[in-house]
Amino acid sequence: MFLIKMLKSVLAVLNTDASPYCIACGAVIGIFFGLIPGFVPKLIIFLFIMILRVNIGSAFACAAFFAAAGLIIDPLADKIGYFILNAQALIPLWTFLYNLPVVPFSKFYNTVVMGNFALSILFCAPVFFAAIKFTRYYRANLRQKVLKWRIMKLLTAGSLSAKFIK
Amino acid sequence: MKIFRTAFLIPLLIILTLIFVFIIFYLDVYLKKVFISAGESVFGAKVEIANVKTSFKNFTVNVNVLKIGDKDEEFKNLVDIDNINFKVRFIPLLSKKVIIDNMSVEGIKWATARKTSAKLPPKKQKKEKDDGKPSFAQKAMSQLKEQSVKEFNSFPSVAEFNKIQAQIKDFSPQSVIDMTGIQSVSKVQNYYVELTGKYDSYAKSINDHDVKKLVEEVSALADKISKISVKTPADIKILAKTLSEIKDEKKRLEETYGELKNIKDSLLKDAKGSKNAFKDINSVISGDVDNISSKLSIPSLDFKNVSRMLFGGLWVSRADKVFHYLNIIRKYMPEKSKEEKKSLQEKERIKGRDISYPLKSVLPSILIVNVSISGTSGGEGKTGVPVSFKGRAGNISTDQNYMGKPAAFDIEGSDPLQTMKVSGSFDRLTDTAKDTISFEIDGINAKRLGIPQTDYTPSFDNAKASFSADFSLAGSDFISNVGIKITSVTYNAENKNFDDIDKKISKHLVSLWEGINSVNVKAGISITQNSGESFSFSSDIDKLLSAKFSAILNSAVGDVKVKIRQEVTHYVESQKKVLQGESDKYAANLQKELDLKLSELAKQNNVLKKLIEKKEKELKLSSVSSLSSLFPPK
Repeated sequence: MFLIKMLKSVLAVLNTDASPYCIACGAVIGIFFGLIPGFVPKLIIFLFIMILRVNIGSAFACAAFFAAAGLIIDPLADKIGYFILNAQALIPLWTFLYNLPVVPFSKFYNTVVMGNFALSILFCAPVFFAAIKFTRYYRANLRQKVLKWRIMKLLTAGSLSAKFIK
Repeated sequence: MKIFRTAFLIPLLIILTLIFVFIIFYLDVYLKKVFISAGESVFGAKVEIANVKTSFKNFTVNVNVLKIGDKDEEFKNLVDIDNINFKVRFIPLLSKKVIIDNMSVEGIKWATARKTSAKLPPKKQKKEKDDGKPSFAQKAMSQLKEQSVKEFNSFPSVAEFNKIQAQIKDFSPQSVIDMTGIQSVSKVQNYYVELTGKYDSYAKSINDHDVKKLVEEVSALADKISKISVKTPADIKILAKTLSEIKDEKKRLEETYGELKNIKDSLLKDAKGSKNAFKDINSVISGDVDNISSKLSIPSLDFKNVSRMLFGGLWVSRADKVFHYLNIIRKYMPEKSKEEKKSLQEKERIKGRDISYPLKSVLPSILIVNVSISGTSGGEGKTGVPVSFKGRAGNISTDQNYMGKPAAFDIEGSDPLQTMKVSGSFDRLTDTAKDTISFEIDGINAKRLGIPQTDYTPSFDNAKASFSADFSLAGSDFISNVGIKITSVTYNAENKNFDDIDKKISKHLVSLWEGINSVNVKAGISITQNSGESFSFSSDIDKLLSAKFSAILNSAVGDVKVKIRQEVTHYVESQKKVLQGESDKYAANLQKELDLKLSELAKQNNVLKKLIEKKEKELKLSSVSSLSSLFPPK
């Protein structure tokens, strides 16, 4: 069900006339939304998604993908986060942030949060450019073919697809 | 190109505006409910607040008319505060920290009267009761309280006086005195037994002397000698021999006379002595009277109970109340837990690990730097002249290390007649929490102490009291000491209920308290892990009352003693009379017998004397004539 929803939203985004940059920016923010755990960070990122004129569909599609990926990535994120939080050069920065009144609510001092945040930053550029390139390629070469697929008709058939999905 | 999505911003702004409006209009009501609920769970009684006003301009909170009910006294307030005002720092609030630099608490009053009950509804009471397991000190304190209720309520009453009075009034010496066991009577009886024994020995001695026989023998010898006529020299020899015999007999007669005379002298001396034998009998009777009086079952009143009853229970209940509130303070300002004492570096979590960094003067969750306090000792339902007081409290914090000082308060108040000083400290800087509270109050109306009123104790309504008390809870060791001095104590029997009591009792009670116009009490409670629980108590009135009661009792028992003395004296005198009569009769008979014998002996002695003289003369003449015949004149 989740995969069908994700596929539907991806196809919906690709088949619109939205700017590839908006789609790419949405995807980038979606990485953060999907990977970083915790209510407060997710709420902040959600507000960014909603306030900034990024593509919401691509953001949630990407978030869904990275949230699933996070289940596998977390142990790696934990190690990376631990390394970053214990890096001697950065400790003054973390200490400063730790002593600020609101910042600790972000749980930046958690190894998984920090590791996923680092990985999100790492994934930003590749995902951004890959999303632009893929959107352009899709629209130029695959869009018409995909629209002719039976499954595509089923997914985009409004109420019918909704019934199917249910 | 537009960066922001206006279609989302507008609904977001609307939602934020609605939240803001809600806060503006309903935050005060919500806060009031939160304060009431928190207060009720802490104090276990109704908490009432007139209104709460918050201002976002300065982040100030104003609480108007706060009344906290007393869970032990349904229609009294524990604390009644007119106004509380404080300003909260905004930035720490974002980190869920309440930091107050200055707070003012005005119009504090305590123990004021309530028009409605302070009891919580059953549902809330149930919630409030769940305090977990009681500590050692809490258990010990509740035991001490139970003990005090039992002990301090078992005090002597006016009924005891009544009992004494009844016993004295209906006292009958005949019913309690066994005369055979009385020393004075025994002494009289023993004396006469001894005297009779002496008389018996005199009688025996008299009987041993057979005067009649002696007289007969002497008479026979006298007859014999009187018949001898000297005619020949041989007769002279016989006469001389008989004369010698009769002299021996005379000597024996005289010896017997002498012995009987001695007996008579002794008899007369003893008889005369018996008349004056009981000069010291009165002191023996006095001894008997005291001895009998001491055996009367007149109850003695334990006056140690009086001060314990008046102040013991009162003190334990006060200490228990302070202890209860110290425990509440301990609950909300807990000791450092073992986990807290360890410095945490890493904490394993299911999702990652939290890394801790050194906190630079991190603010505690709650910090009230300074509180200015003002109030009055008066209030609704209170009598007497109220004293206005003011003071300060400070360093009230969930982490005292931030300020490096323990939380403390200091309140002082005075007027021309009264002074009061209350201070306290709640130390959480060390591993063992130490809470202390001390009171010094002088010149207050003693009625306000709540001293129990009884018919036989004075009224404290117009008395003045001063006391100093210290309470300390270090770890789980609770120690408290108090010194109370009450002056202008008066006992007014007219205000007492003596309907069923003899009028004499009220007189006794008045004299019991007469001259006692001040009371000093010292008490202490100690509940420690090492030495368990102990309650010490001392008062000067116990000794005073005991001495006075003894005097009263002695005066009342005096009547009984007179009765006993009369009875014993009467019995001793009657015994004496009977025995004296018998002994006098006995002595008279002996004397008569002795006189008879002595006169007979004396008579016989005279006869012999004359006879011996005659015969000696005769013998002399015969001898001379005989010699003349042998030697005729030349």
